[in-house]
Amino acid sequence: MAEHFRLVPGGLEVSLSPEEVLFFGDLLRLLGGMGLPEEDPGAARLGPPVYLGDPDADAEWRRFAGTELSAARTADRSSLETVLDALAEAHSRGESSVTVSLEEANAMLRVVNDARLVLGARWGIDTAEDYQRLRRESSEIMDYLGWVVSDLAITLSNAIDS
Amino acid sequence: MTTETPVRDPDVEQGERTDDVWKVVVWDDPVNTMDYVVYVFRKLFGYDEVKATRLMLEVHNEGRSVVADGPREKAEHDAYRLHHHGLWATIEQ
Repeated sequence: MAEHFRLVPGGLEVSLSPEEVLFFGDLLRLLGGMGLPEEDPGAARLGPPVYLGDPDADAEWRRFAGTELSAARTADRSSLETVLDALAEAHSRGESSVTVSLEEANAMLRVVNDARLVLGARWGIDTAEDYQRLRRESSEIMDYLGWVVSDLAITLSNAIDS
Repeated sequence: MTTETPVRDPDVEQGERTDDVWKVVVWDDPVNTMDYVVYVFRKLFGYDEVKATRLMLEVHNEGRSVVADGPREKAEHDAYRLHHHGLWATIEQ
């Protein structure tokens, strides 16, 4: 697979194909249109309890942190949307990459990872063995997103080292 | 039973009692990748690669790991940051 992420002075060079830009756009719509945690396992996965066995303390924590967390995720998605727009523009000029800040790279990483978590929850992945039961298409999506997440995480780890 | 007058620990006066220490626990899940979890531990807590990897393996093998501790407010903030990164964290005493 072609190199997608490369550290450059001042940030990260991101190379995605037009198909990947469209697919990441689909992920943004997936995350932007989630249901309530009570009815959507994906939404529940993104808002797990912090206080086990203490519903009152947990409800109190959610009152303060829930809104903030939701706003932070919206900002992450908005950041990725900007990057995808820039990539689409680059493609229209015959280029394949854009340079983003490390903050934008981290937002992209969180969004892609969130999408994988949401899909995994909706597809009933509770144990490592559950991957075997996935339909082929679902399995390929989880593999692809897992590869993107790991590749980006390893590249950004190198930014910590340098 | 001793008849000595208890000596107050100055640290206790400043709210540093042991029961004020909250542990931040990260739980295993089958979706987050190992590379991602190591990166998040390094980024959020400044751990070196060896410590972050050891904690990730503890999560993976034992099902959970205490990755940080401190006063309740700090523990809640750490849990918030971990949730923002998609890791399931709880806090406990």
